[in-house]
Formats: sequence, C-alpha cells, structure tokens
Amino acid sequence: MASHSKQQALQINDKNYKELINNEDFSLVLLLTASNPQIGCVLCTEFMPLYNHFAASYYENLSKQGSDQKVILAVADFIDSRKYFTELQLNNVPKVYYYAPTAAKQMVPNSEFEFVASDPYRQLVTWVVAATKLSPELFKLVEKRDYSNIALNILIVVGALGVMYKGQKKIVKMIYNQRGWQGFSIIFVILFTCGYMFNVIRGTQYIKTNKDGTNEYFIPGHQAQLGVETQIVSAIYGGCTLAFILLTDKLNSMKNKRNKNLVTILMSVIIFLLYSFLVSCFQEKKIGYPFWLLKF
Amino acid sequence: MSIVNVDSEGYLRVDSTLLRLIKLLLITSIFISISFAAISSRLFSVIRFESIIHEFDPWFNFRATKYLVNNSFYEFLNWFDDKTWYPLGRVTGGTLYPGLMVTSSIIFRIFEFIGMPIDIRNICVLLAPAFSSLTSLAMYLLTLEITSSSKNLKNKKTAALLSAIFMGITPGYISRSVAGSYDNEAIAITLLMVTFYLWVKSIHLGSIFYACLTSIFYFYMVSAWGGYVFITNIIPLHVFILLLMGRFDYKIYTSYTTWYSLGTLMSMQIPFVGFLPIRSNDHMASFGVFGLLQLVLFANYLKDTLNPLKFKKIMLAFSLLITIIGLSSLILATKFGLIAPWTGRFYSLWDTNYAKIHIPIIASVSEHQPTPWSSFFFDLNFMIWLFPVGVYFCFQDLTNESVFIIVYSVLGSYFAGVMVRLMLTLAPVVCVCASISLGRLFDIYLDFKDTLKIWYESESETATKETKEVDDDDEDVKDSIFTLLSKLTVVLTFIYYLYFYVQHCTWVTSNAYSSPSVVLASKNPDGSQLLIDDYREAYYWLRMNTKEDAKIMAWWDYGYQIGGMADRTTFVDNNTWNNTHIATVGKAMSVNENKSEIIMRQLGVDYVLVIFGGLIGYSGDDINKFLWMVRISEGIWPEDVNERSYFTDKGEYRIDDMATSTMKESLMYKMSYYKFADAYGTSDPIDRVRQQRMSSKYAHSITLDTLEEAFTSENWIVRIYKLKDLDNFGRDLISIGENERKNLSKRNKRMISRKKPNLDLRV
Repeated sequence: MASHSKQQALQINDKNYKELINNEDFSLVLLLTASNPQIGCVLCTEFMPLYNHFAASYYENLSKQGSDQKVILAVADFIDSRKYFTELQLNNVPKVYYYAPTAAKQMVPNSEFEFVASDPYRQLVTWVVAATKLSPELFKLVEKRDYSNIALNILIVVGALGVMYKGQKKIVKMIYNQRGWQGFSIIFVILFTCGYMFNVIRGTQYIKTNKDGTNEYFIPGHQAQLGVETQIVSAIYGGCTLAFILLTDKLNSMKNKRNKNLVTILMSVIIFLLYSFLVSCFQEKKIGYPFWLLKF
Repeated sequence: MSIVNVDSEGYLRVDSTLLRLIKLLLITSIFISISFAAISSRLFSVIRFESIIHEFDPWFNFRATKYLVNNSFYEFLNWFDDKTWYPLGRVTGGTLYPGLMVTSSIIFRIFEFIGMPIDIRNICVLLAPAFSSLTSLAMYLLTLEITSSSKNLKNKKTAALLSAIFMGITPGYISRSVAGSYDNEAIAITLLMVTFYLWVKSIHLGSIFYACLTSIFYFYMVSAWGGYVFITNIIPLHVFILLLMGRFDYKIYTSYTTWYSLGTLMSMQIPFVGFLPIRSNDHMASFGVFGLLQLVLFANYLKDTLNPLKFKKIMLAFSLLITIIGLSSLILATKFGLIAPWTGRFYSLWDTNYAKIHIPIIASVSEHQPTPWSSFFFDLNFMIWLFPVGVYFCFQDLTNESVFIIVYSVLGSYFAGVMVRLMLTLAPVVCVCASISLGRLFDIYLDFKDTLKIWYESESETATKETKEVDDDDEDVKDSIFTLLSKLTVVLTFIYYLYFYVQHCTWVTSNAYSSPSVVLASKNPDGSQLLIDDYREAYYWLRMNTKEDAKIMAWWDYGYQIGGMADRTTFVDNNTWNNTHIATVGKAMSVNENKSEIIMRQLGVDYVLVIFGGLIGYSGDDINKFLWMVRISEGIWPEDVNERSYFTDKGEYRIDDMATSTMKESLMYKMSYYKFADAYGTSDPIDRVRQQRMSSKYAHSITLDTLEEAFTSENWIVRIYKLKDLDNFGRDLISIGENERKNLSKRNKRMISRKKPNLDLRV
C-alpha cells in the first residue's frame, strides 16, 4: 500500500478501500470530500488544493529525511467511493479523520479535524501532529517549483518583448492615445463607485434565487450586495454619463436645429428615467428612504 | 456722468465699478449662505440632544485638548499618560497628531484674549462645522483654479460656486464633521483641500511663494491627520504622470522641489512622525520623484548641448543604470532595516485580504470594510453619476491641473471602494467633477441670449418691413420657441435634481449622521422621542462612586469614553497600539471565571464594564463583538482560546440553553446574562438582539462568584462589576460560591416547586 507514487495523497475508490482499512501497519489521515461541482461543496474545493499540498510536502519531507513511513495520507472522493461513504454513514463533507493503526475497520475515527476560518494549514498541521505524534518537521510546507510555469512565464515575457519591439510605434501610439485613457479612467471610476471591490473582497454571490424560483436582484442594507447589483447600477451610471456627455459636449456640433432640440429633450428624458430608476433601486437597498422621482 | 446710462442705440450702460461691486456683493452673500447651510445642517445633534462630544475617538481628543489648555505646550508634547493602558501607560504626547488640539486651544486663547471666554467643550463641539464652511471656500478656490485654466471650462464661476455648495452639504463629508464629532478629520479635510488648491496654483504659476504655502499647509495637515500620506503620494504621482506625458517644465520643477524639501523637513518636526518621511516606504514615492526630477533636469540640459544620436545612447545607458541602482538600493535598504517596510494599514489597501488574515484588529473595525454601491449613493447622491462626466471633461482639455483631478478621481474611487472611511477623501473630488459637468450644462442651457435676440429682431423687423420674408421669420421664431422649450426641459430637470440633492442630504444628515452614539435616540410607542442615556449614567456613576485610582477593564472600544467621561484608568483603548495587551483583556473576557480571575488579579483590575443590549435590543453590544475578542486573543494564545468552541456543532452562534459550554462559562457571557432572568420574573427571558429565548430555569442558574454586580444602568446597556477582594481565610472564591449555593438550593427548590402550580393556573 505504501508503495504508491510517493508525491501525492493516496486516492481511494470503491476498489481499494477495503485493502486500506484492513492494513495493520499504518495509521491513516483521511480526507473525505466531494469535488463534484453538482454537489456544490465550496469548502471541499477550497480545501482540496491545500490538502494536496500538505500531502505532497509530507511525502517530499519523508523521502528527504529517509525516515520510515508511519502514516498514510489519503483522499476519498464521493464520486469514486460511494460504497465507502455509505459504510462510514457520512452525511456531510468535507471531513478529515485520523485512524490509529487497525482502527480504520471500526469506521469510527480516533480524532476529527475541525475546520476553522483562519490559517487552515497551520491548524491542520497542529492537529495531525497532535494525533500522530510525528515531528512537525515532517509537515513543513515544501514549495514546489513549477518549472513549466516558470518556462511559460519566460516565454510570455520574451514574446511580449518581441511584440513590443516589433510594433514599437503602434504601442507607443496606443500608450499616448488620449481617448483610450479617457475611456479607461471613466470605466474605472464607474466600476469602483458601483461597489466592484465589495464583490471582490467579500466574494458575494451573483444573484439570489428564492425558493419559488424567482430571482432577487437587490438585497436590502448597506452590509450586503449582489454581483448583479453592481452590473445594474454601473449600467445606469454609464447610461447617465453617455446621455450627459451628448447633452453638453456632442450636441454643440449638430447643425440641424430641430434635430438638436429633439435630441436634447430625448436625452433629458432618458436621464430622468434612469435617475428615477436608480432612486427606486436605492429604495430597495435602504428601507424607509422617503424620496422618489418615478415609482417603478 | 451718472452710473447708469441709456445710450443712443437703446442699450443700458452700467458703470463697470458698480458691476464689480454688485458681483462682489452677490458672491459674498452666496458664500454667507453656503456657510450658513453648511454649519446649520451639522447642528442637528446639538439641537436634539445638547452640545456633547460624540462617539469614541473624539473623547480622547477632547481629553487631550483639556490637558493642553490646562498645561503648557511643552508639557503637552511630553505628556505621559498613566491613566490608560494600565500598567504600561502611554507616551501620549509622542503618539498623537497634535494639530486638532492645538487648533482648538488657539481658538480658545483668542476668545479668552478678546474677552469672550467660551467653554473649551463648546469650542471642540463646534470646531468641525466651523471648519466645514472653510472647506467650501477652499473647494471654491480649487474648482475655480481648475476651470479657469482650461479653455472649454472657462465659464465664469458657476462650477466653482456649485462645488462649494456641494461640498458644504454632501453627507460624505458631513458624516465626519457634524457638531460634536471632534475628530482629526474635522480639520483635516479642510487642510487637504487648501493644500490641493495651493499645489494646483503653484504648479500653474510655477511660483515659489505658493509652493511654500503648500508645504506650510502640508505641515499643518501632517500635524493633524495620519491621512497626510495621501498627499505625500498623490502629488508625486501627479508629477510623475506629467513627466510621462512629456510635460516637464521649470514650473513643475520649482514647485515640486520646493514643496518636497520644505514639506519633508517640516513634517519631521511632529514628534509622532519623526523620521518616518525618510525611513518608511509610504514616503518613498515622493523621494523617488524628487530624484527623478533632478535626473530629468540633467537630461534636459544634455539634450540642449549634445547631438541627438549621442544623447539617445547616453540616455539609454543612463536610465538603465539608474533603474537598477535605485531598485537594488531600495530592496537592500528595506532588507537591512534602514527603511521600514509598508505599514499594515497601507498594505491592506492593495492586498485586500491582507488585513483579514494578518491583522484582525484592523479587520474588526467596521470603518475598514469595503463599500457597496448604495453607500456611495447614500453619501453623494446624484453627484455620483455626474462624477464620470467630470472626468470626461477633464480629459477634454488636458491641462496640468485637470490631470491632477483625473489622478485624484481614479485613486480616490479605488480607495473609497476598498474602505468605507476613505469615502471622506473621495467626496471632494466628486464635488469638483460634478460641479464641472453641471457648470458646463448650465452654461449652455441657461444661455437664452440667442433666443431673446431672435425675438427682438423679429419684432423690430416686423415693425419695419411688414410684408417681406415674414414666413422665414416665423420659422425662426418657431424654432427659437422649440429651442427655448428644450433648454427649459434640461434646465428644469436639473434644477429639480439639485432640489432633490438638498432634500436627500438633509434627510441623510438628520437620520444617519447626527446621532452622538453616546446618547441613543429611540421612539416611544406613541411616537414621542425617548433618549437612552445609559452610557453617561454609568460613566457618571463610575466618576462619583469609585476610587480615583480605580482601574476599569472594558473592551477597547470604550477606553476613550471611560477616560473622557468617567476619568478612570483603563487597560486598553481605541489607540490599539499594543495588540498583546488587547489580547490579554480579550482572553480575560473569553475564558472561564477561574482562569479569568488569575488574569484580572495580575492586571490589577478593580471593576469590569460590559455593554449589554439584550434587554432593549441594542445591537452594538459586547456579545456581538465577543467573537473579535476571541479571535484577537486566539491570535496570541491559540492553545487557550479557540474560536470554534464558541459555536455550536451546527455552527450557530447561540447564547440560550443550547450554547456551548465554553460560551456559557466565559466571563463575558456570565457578566452579560447574570441576573438577566430577574428582569423577566418567572417567564422566560428573551435576548432581543440575538432573538433567542432562554429557559427561565437555566437563566436563573447563571452565577458569578469572583465578581459582584456594582451597577447596572437603567436599560441594562452598561453593567459594571467589581472584582471581589480575596477571601480573608484564603479560600477560593468560586468554591465559596458553590458551597453557598448548595446550602441555599434546598430552600430555593422548594420555593420554586411550590410556586409552579400557581403559575400554570394563572396562564
């Protein structure tokens, strides 16, 4: 069992799990997870790379120090090992179990890892060390050097430099293009004033679906926000900005007076509608806001 | 010649001095009204409550100001405060920005000198509104400077006046400058705007005089607020971008070098800042640009003397060398500790997850949360969608001054998006941009000269030539009516938006930003106002009933208030300079009575103060902040405190019968719910904040042995406990309590069981 490829956690499936739990020599640290997106376990997907890194570091350290392996690090994914999961009678994942040698048969773990929000790697190491009595040296994080990644980066940099050298003039032109910077700054400003950073930092969900299948586009209160809110509001701001620029800047060059007047009126109506829509959006956010322009 | 004439063509001619006089009069009266609006909209809390200092930090500033007024300036700078951070104390004079206190003490002295002694508290309360009217003046000057230097925006003073009124009443600024919020920001925003105005002016004129003034106000700003780093970085960035745009000239050189050298030297005179300007990475940008300017100047000289080919070669080699040397020396200096690395707060601006992971104490402050769009609209109203338009116009004619506005808007909107409190620095530039766009709009659409001209001409023409070309004229007149109509539509809608803006600002100010948070306002069932004055009641109790050197343990939020209102020694306060000390207090609150008693005896605690909102539903109480205490102390003692154990198995935060045993045993929990059941008689007590119901039996079983209840305020918001003296026979306080309960319990049980049937029948 211990002779599997030594660089990663042992993958468990319906075929090999019996063999694993019947072994009498090794203690076992087992991650039970469900990486299938249909199950939609967020914590599982977040924890998986961390655990893999943990396992890889362990095996790396083990081979470096040349000490005997006493612990097997394993992963069981729900899709591959349904039988095992039913035997364990699990009803929620992810879980990390520790089994002392020969204890795996009884299914009841000797110890269970408690997931915490802050610094999970350190917590995991502390827990494993406490359970297995191994030296924490074995679990020191080994940063893998991903050579393919480095090579790719070098390629990209070289390629970019080449393109830059070839198209020097065009790039210089692009950099000095005032219009480009103008658009960029305006988009930037609109994005940030629409709470884009809030979504990034909090990782908010895009839209809220009620139980009856209807969608909700706005959550009340300054404490929460949906991804779609940012999009709606930035569209409103963008529309207002465009209409306003037409009104004050572009219309001056228009020759036909009649058309000009028509467009003027049209634009102010558009601004009015957009603004009143914005206010009604705001009313959904701030319950009890007493003002409105048009009620939508 | 009289002042007003009618000349031969029928035009009214007015003497230019009279016109100027009228203009001056108008502008003065506009400014008086703006000041009036700005000040009066900040007085809601004074009218509703009384002239009182708000919130937390202002209490410290107030206390420091009182110290400064009663002692000399040098004593103030050397002030060692032994009433805070017991037993460590705090070198207060060296760890604060003295600008605010000095300002108000100077005002105090001036009033005293002219024979109008005013209580220092009233000066402190009204300082922020007074400075807000100065801010609108500075805003006016800044916008005028920006608009007057560009050809398209050269539109009289509409934009500038608009920006002044916008700034005067925008909630984004009012939030930090209502009467009573005696905080650094109260004067800092004024200084920020004045500095920016002077900077723009000096770069426009290339004048050393204005550059010196800029650095003087920069110095004032440094002395007043930690946010001066914003100026320290935005001015170099502005210059750097101008250099990239190939706009180097001697005006830029003169004003930047003057500002940098004078400003840096002066800022180092503030004890709290000290050698930071040459040692911390936050200031390296300004230093780098200073060096770069010298190089550019040198290169400019070479360009004039050498031939182009040689110049190009030299430049290439030169710039490569400089980059390498500069970067490596920066890295080396940081590594050897010559330059301090970026400060944590600064880091958290760029890497937004940094604070969450590394500095829980920063993440725990609600001001450091990211901003949703609704906050922007709440604070800036319709200016928020005029803001991008203003940026657009700044690009339309790209003067050096408008580049500044662009840089400021892009940076400001990013920072405001990351941290709610930085909305304050964004608000001014939004006002500038919005007023530029609105100014242009009104310039175009409030101009009825053409229409009037056509009407006048058609009238006079129909009077002279009656028959010919009447149709054509009619067409013209019709057109002009249509034009007038369209213009009126635009103008009227926007005037309505302005009206809406005023309504919005007044409503927001009155509802959201005028609560002193020391006194809570609530409504009785019949709609009349009910003031909840528990804080002051409790602090006053402390002041009157405890020994003068009593030490009060409370969570750091209340440190400044206890110092300011109760005048008692505290362990931790809002200064948060010593994380370990805060964690110690957090640990004392979150572990069980046994362990906590040891910590409290070691610290020398006399009283413990907790905020409890469960009885009346006040959500900002300590049980809601409890997790932060746990988290912060877990950061130091992970083996003693574990956040997970305060949650139930299902991951819920419960305080009722189902709460975890760690939660139930923690000192904070016991202090909050001790005797809570008594308030409900025999029925089940309900926590109105967490909306959880405890069973009466369980609630009665919450005991406290090491502490005794000393005071509980009217609505139970503040509860004060006294640490019991050690037992005379050396017995353990907890075991004494347990023994007493054992002896009592038989009788009690009988009483309870006797009562029970009655209860059921009554129900």
